[in-house]
Amino acid sequence: MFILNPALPTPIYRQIQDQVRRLIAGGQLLPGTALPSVRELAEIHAVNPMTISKAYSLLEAEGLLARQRGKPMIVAEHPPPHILASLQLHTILRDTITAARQLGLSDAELIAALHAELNQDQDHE
Amino acid sequence: MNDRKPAVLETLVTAKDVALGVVNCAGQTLSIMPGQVVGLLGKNGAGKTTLLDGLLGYTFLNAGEVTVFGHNPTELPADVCSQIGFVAQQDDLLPWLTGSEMLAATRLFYPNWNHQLVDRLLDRWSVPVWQNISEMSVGERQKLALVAAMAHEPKLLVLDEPAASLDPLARRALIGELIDIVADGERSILLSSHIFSDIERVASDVWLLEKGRITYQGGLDELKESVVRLHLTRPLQVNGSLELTTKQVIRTEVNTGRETWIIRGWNEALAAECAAQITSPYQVEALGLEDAFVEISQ
Repeated sequence: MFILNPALPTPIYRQIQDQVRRLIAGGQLLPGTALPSVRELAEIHAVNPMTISKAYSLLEAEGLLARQRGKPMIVAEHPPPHILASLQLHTILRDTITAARQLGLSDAELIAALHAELNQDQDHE
Repeated sequence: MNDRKPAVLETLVTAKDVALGVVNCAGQTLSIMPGQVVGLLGKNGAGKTTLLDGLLGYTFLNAGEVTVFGHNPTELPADVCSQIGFVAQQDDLLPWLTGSEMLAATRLFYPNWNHQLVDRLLDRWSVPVWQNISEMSVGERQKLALVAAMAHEPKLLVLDEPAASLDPLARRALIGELIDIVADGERSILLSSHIFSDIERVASDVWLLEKGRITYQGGLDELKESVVRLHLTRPLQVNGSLELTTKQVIRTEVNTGRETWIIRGWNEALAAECAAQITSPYQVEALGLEDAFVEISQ
């Protein structure tokens, strides 16, 4: 379920963390869904099991995954709303940045445009 | 009352102030904990094999102290020896024996020999055990040496360039076996390798050996995250000062229109400083292990 590339600069635990976050934010991983066990993932991807545990523990600390005694990790039933919101915002911002680059806008122009929109929004309130 | 001992993680190997040949680690302490997979990295001639020999007691140290399972490695009791597995860079197999004879002879030294594991590995790696070792290819000999070192399920497995002569499929199979070994978190592996992608898969920790000294001992992820290239456009425009960042620059490359700072010790504080102070366009390039190694070793 994950695409892991050990040779990337991004450490493997971060690749797992990012992908789980994205899958949860995008609704592909629903609350209560069981994740593959540490050992299973370590064997499939031929990576150190400690790396997988590290990613799972960090995601648990974030409130996105929940540990059950003697059973696989599951997607938390109620992930913290602010985390979900920031994940979705992150996706939107990435898309916006990509679009701005394709339009040939400089970073400064993008920031100025965002400021202008925010100001207009405040005027309406 | 709970009379079970708390699960204290005992250090398997400790090496203090080791000096031996080109290795001079005065003032440095190396350690291996249960469950760790330590990748030993260094350029040719950095002293990797010498250090491994010293840690395992194959050579007497010029200075320093090593303990393996609490013992001096040059005088290990038999029951401790049987907890260790080692594959040298140049195998020490007896060329006039067949593979099967070699394994049968090795088995005599180890009470806890796992026949199933041996059969599985020989089959998986297609080792022609009926052949004389002298007739085997370098890769086949390496596989046989690995089987002989892993068959007694050692708590500490030390491999000096184990994958150097293996084809990619055999290497992947070896990684699978190594992962299996450490999956319970009790056994440890120390391996030197030039194949960085293997180290990135399997290692939890890295020792970087440069000219006989350890220049990094710590997590693999932390190493990868701490070395970056900071690409700046010239002229560089800065609000205030880049005090934290400039302290961590190990090298700079200046080209027309842009310059690159190689930074060792990158973290969130530095990222925040750059974001707050640099007003000209810049980019942070994270590095893979091989690039990080090249940058640090220059």
